[in-house]
Amino acid sequence: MLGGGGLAELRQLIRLVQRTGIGELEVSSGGRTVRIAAHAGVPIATAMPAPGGRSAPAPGGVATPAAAASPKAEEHAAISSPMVGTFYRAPAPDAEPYVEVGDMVEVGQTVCIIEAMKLMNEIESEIRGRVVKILVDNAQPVEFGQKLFLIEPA
Amino acid sequence: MADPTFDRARFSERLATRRLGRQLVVRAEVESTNDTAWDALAAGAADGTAVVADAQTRGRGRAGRAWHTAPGRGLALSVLLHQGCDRRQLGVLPLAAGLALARGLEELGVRAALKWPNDLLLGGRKLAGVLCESRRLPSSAGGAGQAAVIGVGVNVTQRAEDFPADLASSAISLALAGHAAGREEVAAGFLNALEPLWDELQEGARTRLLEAWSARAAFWGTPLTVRTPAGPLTGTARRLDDDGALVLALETGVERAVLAGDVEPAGAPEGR
Repeated sequence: MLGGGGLAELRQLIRLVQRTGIGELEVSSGGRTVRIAAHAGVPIATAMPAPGGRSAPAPGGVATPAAAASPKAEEHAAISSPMVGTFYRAPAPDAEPYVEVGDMVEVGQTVCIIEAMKLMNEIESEIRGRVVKILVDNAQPVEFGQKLFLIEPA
Repeated sequence: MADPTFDRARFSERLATRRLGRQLVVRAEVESTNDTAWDALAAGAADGTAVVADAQTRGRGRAGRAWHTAPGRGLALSVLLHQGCDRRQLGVLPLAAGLALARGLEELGVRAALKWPNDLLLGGRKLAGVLCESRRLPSSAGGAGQAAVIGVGVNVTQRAEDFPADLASSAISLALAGHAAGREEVAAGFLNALEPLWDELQEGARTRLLEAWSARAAFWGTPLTVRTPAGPLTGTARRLDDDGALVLALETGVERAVLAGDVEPAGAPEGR
């Protein structure tokens, strides 16, 4: 992903954000990182700053992926909270968590619940990949756009 | 399995909606009417389809708590909504559901107190609870957007001995409070009151819903404790914010908006 020309892939990612209504998507690959954040339903892609790094040539269009300076760029995408609420890893306190670190998740698979005012919102993964980190503890408040899971795209 | 005892004809006679409850699934026993409503969505059920069961074996409330349905005596009803749902409207759906329950019962002569976000109390005891769930609409059901299920439990004709011992002092039914209504009237009254609220929300009238909810609630200015997932908060109930969150004025004078938690009068012992 994000290799070669990258523009087609970038368009795909933007469409993914548009279609799914997720707040934000960050993908790193091959030393490049791109973050796409939706504002009022319109995704905006921004290149991540590359401190001291070379800028990749702009492919044109709405976004500019930049080369990351770090040689160990993490190839992780984030699943972010689409709303303010309380994060739950399982459907009930005595139930198994939806996902654990190391699990594979499919697109559309429920990964957690965000509760706001007794509305239990099932949150699905927009990405196929392996869970590498769970960033929020169970039953903690989360903000709009806060990263919940890091996923290594498969 | 026995035939369901919920009287479909009696319900239909009182139903005055265009969409909600026009398709009705009636079961003698299910695990949870919310789950049955989600199954109905997967099977292609129409927007507004309602599910009623005489008994639930795994009825649920907030934070994984069980909701007890005395067979044939408690109303267990879920409504499926999947047309024109987006997250912004769904955010205040729990308030709409509580207000609709309160209004539906008023039509039957029952004036219950509305608790944030949507429980109903009679004499400080729990008469009804609501649990809403939302998910992505499956692609088989039209692709983009969200779907929601509103699950309500109302204690209707329970006698004192129908409640489990641990609920005996905290729960009440319409019958115990001297009201003769049946599950069918309560169900139809709720859906009759919910449909115009949901229509308004879909037209973008969020503020009007928040105002109507606030006007119906009677606890403003009173001290409350909210048991949030991150710990208890005590303060004076001030208002709803633009998202429908409960705004408390803490003793320090700071205002805090609460989005999840159980509300109790301040000083009440911890419990369900």
